[in-house]
This record gives sequence, C-alpha cells and structure tokens, in this order.
Amino acid sequence: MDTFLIKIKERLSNIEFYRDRIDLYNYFEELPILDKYDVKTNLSKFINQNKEKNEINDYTSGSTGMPLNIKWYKSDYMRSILYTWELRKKHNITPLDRFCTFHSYIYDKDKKMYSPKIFIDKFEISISFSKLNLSFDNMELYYQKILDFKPIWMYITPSIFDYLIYFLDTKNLPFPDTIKIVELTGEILTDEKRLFFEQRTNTKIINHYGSREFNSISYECPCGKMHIVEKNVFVEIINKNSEDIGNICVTTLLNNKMPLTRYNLKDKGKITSSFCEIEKKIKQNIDILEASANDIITIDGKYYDYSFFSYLINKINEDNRFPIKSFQVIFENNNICFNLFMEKKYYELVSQQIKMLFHYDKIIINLISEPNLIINNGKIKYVINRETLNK
Amino acid sequence: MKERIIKIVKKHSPKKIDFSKLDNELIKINLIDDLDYDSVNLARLIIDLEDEFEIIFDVNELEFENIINLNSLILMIEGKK
Repeated sequence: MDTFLIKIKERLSNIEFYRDRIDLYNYFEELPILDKYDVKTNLSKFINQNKEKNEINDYTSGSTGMPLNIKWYKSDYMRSILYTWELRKKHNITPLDRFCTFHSYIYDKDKKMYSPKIFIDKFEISISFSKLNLSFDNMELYYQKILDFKPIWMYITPSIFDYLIYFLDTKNLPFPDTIKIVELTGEILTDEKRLFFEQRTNTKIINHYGSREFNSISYECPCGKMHIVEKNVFVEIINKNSEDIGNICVTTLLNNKMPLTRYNLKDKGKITSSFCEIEKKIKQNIDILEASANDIITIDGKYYDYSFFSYLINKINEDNRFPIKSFQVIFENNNICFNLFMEKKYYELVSQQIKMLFHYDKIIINLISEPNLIINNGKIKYVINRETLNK
Repeated sequence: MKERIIKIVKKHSPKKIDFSKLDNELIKINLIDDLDYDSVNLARLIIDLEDEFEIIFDVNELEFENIINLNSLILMIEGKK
C-alpha cells in the first residue's frame, strides 16, 4: 500500500462514514465517490468528532440550492489559505497589498450574516462592496470609493467584473489605474472573456479555481498554466470521455476536521502536464471546461446577481429541510422564471415562500424533473438574463 | 529581537492588548486565542517577519502549534537567524 493511501486512511479512520470499512480499501480508487448531496444528508458522519479549541465553520455558496456546512480545524485552514498566498506571491501580490472585492454577506463577531454596502477591514487593506444592490447609483459610489482607496489588485467573479466594465463603459469612465492585477474566481473564465478583460482594463488577469469545500484547487502560474495546488488537494478526473474530459473530483490533503475524499464537484475538466519555467519542473494542470457562470438581472431598476437568488433559495431550504435540490432562474419577456428541481409536494409551499421573499408580480415557478442547466460554451448558468444576452 | 517581533505581532492583531503588562507572561500569548488572528493576519505577520529578519518561512514546515504561541514564534525566528 502506498504512503499516500496510508495517510488518507489514517485520516479517514476518524470519520464515521469510513470507520467500519476502512480496512477493506486496498487502493485509493476503491474509496467511494461522494457528492454534495451525500455529504449534506449525512453531515455528522463526515466530520471528525475530535474537538479542537479553534475550529472554523464555513458554508458553500449553495449553487445547487444546497449550501454545505464545511468545518475546519483552524490550523489546517490557516495552512490552506497560506498556500494560496504563496501562489499570489509569484505574481507579486502580498497580503499587505490593498485590494477590493465584492461580497454578498459578511459574518460579524457573533457569526450573524449582514450585508453592509461598503466594508473596509480594520487594517484598511481591503475594501468590499455589496453585490446585493448593484444599481448604477451604488456603482458610482463604489467607483469613487475605489478611486479613493487606491487598491492595487481585485478579487472578483468574472460576471461582476464584466458588470463593472459595463458600468464604466456606459458612464464613459476609465478603469481605476491603481489596479494592476485582477484575480478572477468562482466562475469559469473563457479565453474570449479573458482577452476582453485584459484589453479593456489593461490589467494582468489571474485565474483561480477553488471551492469553499477545499479553498484553492488550481491557480494560474505566471507561466500561464492552471497548476493544481498539490499541497492542498489531490485531483482526479472521473467519468472521462474519449478526450479524457470528465468530472473534477477532489480530495483534501489538509482538512482533518472534515476530510472530503473523492468529492465530485460536478465541474468538468481535463488534467494535463507541462514543464513550468517558473518552478523548473513538470506540473499538473487543470483545464476547466465546464463550471458555473451567471448573468445579472435588471428588474425595475434593481440589479440581482447569482448570490441574491442563491441566498433566497438557501433560505427557503434552511427553513424547510432542503426541498430544493437544484435551481435555475431565467429572466425573459419581463417574466422571472424559477426552474426548480424538487418533489411536487413542496410546490405550493416553496412558491409561496419565493413570492413572499421576492416581490415581483411576474414570477413563474416550474418544477423540473432533473437538474437541467443550460450549458453554453462551458458555462453552467444558474441565473440567465435573456434580455441582455446580446449585450 | 523580541521587541521587534512583538511590534510586528501587535501590528497585525485585530485585538488590542497591553503588551507591557504581559512581559513576564509572554509565553502564554497565543495569536489566535489572545490576539484573534485569522489566516490573513497570519499571512501578513509572516511576510513582515520575513522582511524584517531576512528569513524565509516554508509554509509546509510551519508548526502551527509553535507559530501560534508567541514565545515559540520568537524561538523559531531566533533559530532561523
């Protein structure tokens, strides 16, 4: 048995889901493949019950309608984040450099969620703007604050960055010239979009593929390749087609509190190898070919992005034992259509709650028999605005 | 050296502590419990310490039990010099 498997088994022996059958696995590939639903519905069985004084609770964004509670020992989490900072350092970004970002919610000291319009950290190194109201009035305020704050880099999703550029172009404003680097994360970045961003903003674009479950999974090296963050995760491609493209399946190498192993993220990609001129060795890379990307919807002068709908669906799920397994929102002909994958018996309840939480008179709620996400050019869209597709 | 390290540790701590009163209890100060450090604070601390003392921390080799304790942090930096 190789040392990798021995280490994995040692970690999993503390986890109820594996404990009774851990000796049966002679090869890593014999360990079961999991997905978010498996873990969500058996959460306690995937958590190491040994308590440490400092633990971290985090939640996935809930893009499938199911936010997952992720637990870490704080020391493991810190190490994992420090690896990401090591990678940023290659691009001359340090944790002392001012940056700006966008948030949906922030947790206060009492772990309560809130969404301040603008949040500046105590050390005045980061400034963050609420994604929940992206009206042009707010964007003007945000823009002015960015100019005043003078960040040198940005941490942002491609869809929000695209929207920021749309705002600047509409108002004929220049991109803030202090920002030299933009790290894009959370959604797929196509080559076409990347070129547009680089040319329009004259910044260096860095692509970062990660998830709340694992932190960084792959990160763009100055050599241009998306190297797997091999100190943090082990990555496999499963359900491969003839071109070796399949689902991205990840195993944490650091999280001892909740050691997700062979966890299918459901994004699609391919693993390649290349010689890295920066590190002077062969590195493994992930080409991400299918992952989420979303539109922003404009209704009555208000702007709603993916995080708003995700929050709405998550709230209904949290209050009602997770009836919605997957969702997609489509805006077309002034109708806002929720396509929900859930059992029929929840239809009335969920419909009522959506209308209670989202005040708009042209809401259509459809039940779908299976998650049927529209995939276009590798983008899995949870929020689609058909009114602005030609923007 | 101790004073220079404490100055940097204080700089990145979200929580204010009167270090002068704790001089004899230095060994007990914990970056997480007493000073409320999170991973970004720690990343900032590391980079400032690297610059100040011209040393390199290898994240892979960091023993968090040590770096989280101020006295051990001081010993570790002294060992690297």
